[in-house]
Amino acid sequence: MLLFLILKVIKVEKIKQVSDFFTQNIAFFFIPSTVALMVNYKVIENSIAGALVAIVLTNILVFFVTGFTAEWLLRLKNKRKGKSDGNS
Amino acid sequence: MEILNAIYENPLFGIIVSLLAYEAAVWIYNKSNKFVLLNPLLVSVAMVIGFLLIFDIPYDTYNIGGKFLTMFISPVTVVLAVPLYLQIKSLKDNAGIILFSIFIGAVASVVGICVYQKLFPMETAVFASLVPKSITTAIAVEVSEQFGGIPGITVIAVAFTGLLGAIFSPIMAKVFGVKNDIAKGLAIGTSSHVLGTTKAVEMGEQVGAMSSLSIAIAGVVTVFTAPFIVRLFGLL
Repeated sequence: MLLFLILKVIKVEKIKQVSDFFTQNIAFFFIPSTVALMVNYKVIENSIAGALVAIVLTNILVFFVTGFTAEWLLRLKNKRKGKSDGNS
Repeated sequence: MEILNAIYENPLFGIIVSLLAYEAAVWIYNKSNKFVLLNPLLVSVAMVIGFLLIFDIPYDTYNIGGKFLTMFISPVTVVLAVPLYLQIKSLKDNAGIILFSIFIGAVASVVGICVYQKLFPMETAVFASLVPKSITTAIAVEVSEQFGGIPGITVIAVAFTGLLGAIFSPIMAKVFGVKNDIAKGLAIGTSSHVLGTTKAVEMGEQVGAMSSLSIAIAGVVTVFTAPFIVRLFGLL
């Protein structure tokens, strides 16, 4: 799809409305798989607390690591760019 | 009774129940001024589970129709190419930084869950199911199966992770001082895939684009690095 858009086979204006609709409502398609919790509950009953904590902690970790790395590198890059602009 | 069963077993039943619950949940969410804990997915799932329990309908019956929705997760993810396309310039300008950050984040996800397992061991199957939780469902299920995880648990873990991202991403960005839109998007997409991305799109076009991009890249990085990392920790 990205390729079609770049090659202008599909004009972005034509699909923007439909794609916006789906982007906002993707959660809808996750309903049945999340409802599965009611049957899989027994399997995870014993480890559910541990699993939830694990998910929460690693989620924060990944957000922090990715965000911090990107933020720091972008700042470094902009600083360097600012310097070279000043020299020239 | 037989008529009722016929209705329940029609694939449309699961789809319509989901649709009604979702519509109601979105309505509640908007009415509550988009209160974060009333996230539409959370509320609609609670309603569907409640409904199935009250009318004593087995999950498998509901899922006759429900599985069609799950099937659509991957194709629907394709629409995220649109925000990406609109931001292709900033992607090209910062390609190195973007790829590196996503790589580090995806590796951190697997390392994090391995460290956690070392400290607080869970059942092996549960652990295996959690390894790929930050990536998009289709890929996550395959990684999970490869490790001997339970796909059902992986799908729930993926949904829960995404839900966390959709709810807490703006707060986390503030707390961790992630101010750059590109960095925000990367952090959201890498940590909480498509569901987080829905929030990212709300936060701005560039945030959304970077988040969509991260979904695909984080998925691929996880597929290739997870087996090594898990082995490195002597797990599985």
